[in-house]
Amino acid sequence: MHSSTSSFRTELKVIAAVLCVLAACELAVRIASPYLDSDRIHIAEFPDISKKLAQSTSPRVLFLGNSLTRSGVDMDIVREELVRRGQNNASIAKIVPVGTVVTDWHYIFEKYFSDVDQCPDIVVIGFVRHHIPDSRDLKCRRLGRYFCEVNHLAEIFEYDVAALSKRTEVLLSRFWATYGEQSLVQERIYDSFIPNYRSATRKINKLLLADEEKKNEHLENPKRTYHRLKRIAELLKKNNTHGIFVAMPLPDVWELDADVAKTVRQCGMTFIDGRKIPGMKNEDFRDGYHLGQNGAKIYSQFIAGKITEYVLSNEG
Amino acid sequence: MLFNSYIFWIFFSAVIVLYRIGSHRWQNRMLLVASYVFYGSWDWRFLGLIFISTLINYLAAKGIARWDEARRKKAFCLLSVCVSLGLLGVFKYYGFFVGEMVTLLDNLGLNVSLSSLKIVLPVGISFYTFQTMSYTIDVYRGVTRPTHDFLDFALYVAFFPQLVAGPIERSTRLMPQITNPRPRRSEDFSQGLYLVLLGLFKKIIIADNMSVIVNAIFSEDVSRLSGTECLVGIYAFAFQIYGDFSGYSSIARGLAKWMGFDLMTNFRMPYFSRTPGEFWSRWHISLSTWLRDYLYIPLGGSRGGKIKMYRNLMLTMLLGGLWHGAAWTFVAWGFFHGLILWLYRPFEKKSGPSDEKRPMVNWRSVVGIFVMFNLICFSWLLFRAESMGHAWEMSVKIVTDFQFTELSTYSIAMIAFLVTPLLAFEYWLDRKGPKGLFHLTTLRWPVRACVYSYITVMLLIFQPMVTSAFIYFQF
Repeated sequence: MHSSTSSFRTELKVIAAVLCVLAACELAVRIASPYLDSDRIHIAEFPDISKKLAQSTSPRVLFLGNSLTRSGVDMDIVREELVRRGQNNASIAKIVPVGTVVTDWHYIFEKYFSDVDQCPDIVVIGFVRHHIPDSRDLKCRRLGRYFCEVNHLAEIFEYDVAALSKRTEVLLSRFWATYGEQSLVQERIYDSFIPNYRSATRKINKLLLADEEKKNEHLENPKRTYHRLKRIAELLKKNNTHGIFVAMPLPDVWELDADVAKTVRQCGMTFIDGRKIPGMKNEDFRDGYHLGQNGAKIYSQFIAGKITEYVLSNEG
Repeated sequence: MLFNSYIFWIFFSAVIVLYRIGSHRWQNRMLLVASYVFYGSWDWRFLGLIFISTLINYLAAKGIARWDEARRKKAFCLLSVCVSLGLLGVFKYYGFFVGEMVTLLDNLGLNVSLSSLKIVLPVGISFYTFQTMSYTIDVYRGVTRPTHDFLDFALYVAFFPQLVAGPIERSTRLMPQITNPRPRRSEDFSQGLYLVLLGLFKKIIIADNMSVIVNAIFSEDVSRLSGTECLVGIYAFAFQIYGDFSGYSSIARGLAKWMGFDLMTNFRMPYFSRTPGEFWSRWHISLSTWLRDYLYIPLGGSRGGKIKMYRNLMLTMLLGGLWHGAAWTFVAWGFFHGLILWLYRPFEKKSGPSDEKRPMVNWRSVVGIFVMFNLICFSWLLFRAESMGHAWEMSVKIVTDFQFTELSTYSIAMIAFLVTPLLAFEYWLDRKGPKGLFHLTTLRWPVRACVYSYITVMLLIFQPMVTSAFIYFQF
């Protein structure tokens, strides 16, 4: 019995040592993560952005989206255009973490803006086709790590994440920074040491996507649903915030499901079809997806116009 | 339930707690229920199949033992073999043979329409049918006595750590461990921990990361690939299949160790083999020894002259290839291995036994290992390719278009980054000889702590975004 116990005890020392190493990694990641990339720097600013907007003058406008909104909305031009249209007191802010979709925006709003003193008056949500359907896969680790609180977990598990493995990802990421930041740390290390990492992974992703599409081409496309879109619209309504949902432009006009506008309007929100804005050309997209400088100017003026229309109609 | 899934570890945590609280009999019954739950989680429809296979083989073995007449004994043995192979034939090979028959008849100008059922392949069928067959054949040969406890035999068939992808256990090894109480041994926890961690590293870090490269390269039109991309894809697959399969076996052995069971070693650093004979004594050892004992030797083995020996070798490898799957590429893979066994046979005797502790590294060994590794990799091309034509196109591309591209340099770097530490560790283990597989567990605990810390950090940081199923589950 003694030799069995001592062997087990020795192994416990090994496990304890491993846990110490993991604790050291956790400390390092928690210290470094706010500075790991520009997106995390932006995420770290969310509480300040929320606070500043809450203390600003009405109408308080929040732009909520991802990199499309980040490159498409030029805050200076929006401000200028709002002033030109008589909205001198309007305050604007932008929350645009990269690669987010409607579920992330739902919990970001709930976490940072749903306090009664912090609610913006208007939220402008820019999206394209794949950002809003329910079938879209979520980045569970980022959701757990940054965009939700502990009290949101029950709601996430009920509505957004059903699979045990995904729920575990959300839960672990909430409390374990190393686990939550895994993709970024991995990317950074590979980028530093593996030649052609970015271009090769882009090629691999394209090949794998093409292969999956080939395998699934005989399958019928399931009908898209928009319960998550409805939930965010209802969340805004509950917080007396008006949502302006904008279908954003891309070089080629993308197919918009009629259910999207219907869902938004049924919740009393505004839907704007911004897929084809007068004056916008393909050259206005810097990489075939994100708007460049001129494109951002056109879009920002367009969206400022729509905000003004809503404000004036509401005052009326 | 994959071994690298959260749900499996929740399941296993419950099993191990329940295992520890009861008597030996309770342990066996609980493990049987757990094994059926585990198997049912894959597809509950096939629980009936494994039960029927268990029942028929149990009764066949009892029948063999009951009767003294050789004719009756043979009849029961044949019943077991026919049922086991019949199940395998229907579920695994029916579609293939029907398809090939239709093609052949079409080519002869006879347009026939044979119904081809879409049959779902039950997970693990190739493994547990071989395991049950070996039991009844061993009873027939008088090597082992049949068990009278049906539930213990059911556990032998369905024992969940090794049920779906081996190792294919022998009744002489596993049945005594089931029927006799299993004392707690001092080394079980540490050896189990080592095996599980090593297995997870091989599966998640090596196999799953390599699968991303492999799937991308093998899905692309060969005309759009360079020769180096094809070559790197093959090397990546060599490590993928090794990491996948040996990783699974290692986890299975580790889980079994934690419950006091010793499952056989299924892999022993196979890519350090110098000859095909040595490779088959190190790769999927449970299958190669099964084929040797139940096919090669009964066919005559190396007795009866050279021609018969080569015939027996080739037949064994062809059927070994077919065991892996119902496709001509698997048959070609088996044929290729038979061929290189033939070619190396004269040299195999001269190189001496492969079980000895390795001598110091010399250039002859290095060249031998390099050549053997590349021959094995060529066989993996046959294994992985979509068709014989695909394999041929890739082979031609390798020799005609050897230019480095971004994808090939990236893939080489990924292989070097992820696989080199494992190869270095396996080389170190290999130098210790066959008895040194657990050498790490005998070293001072800080050494293990460093190795396990490396493994854990790698598992945490470098798991790929997409996990893949174990390759051998499809067999």
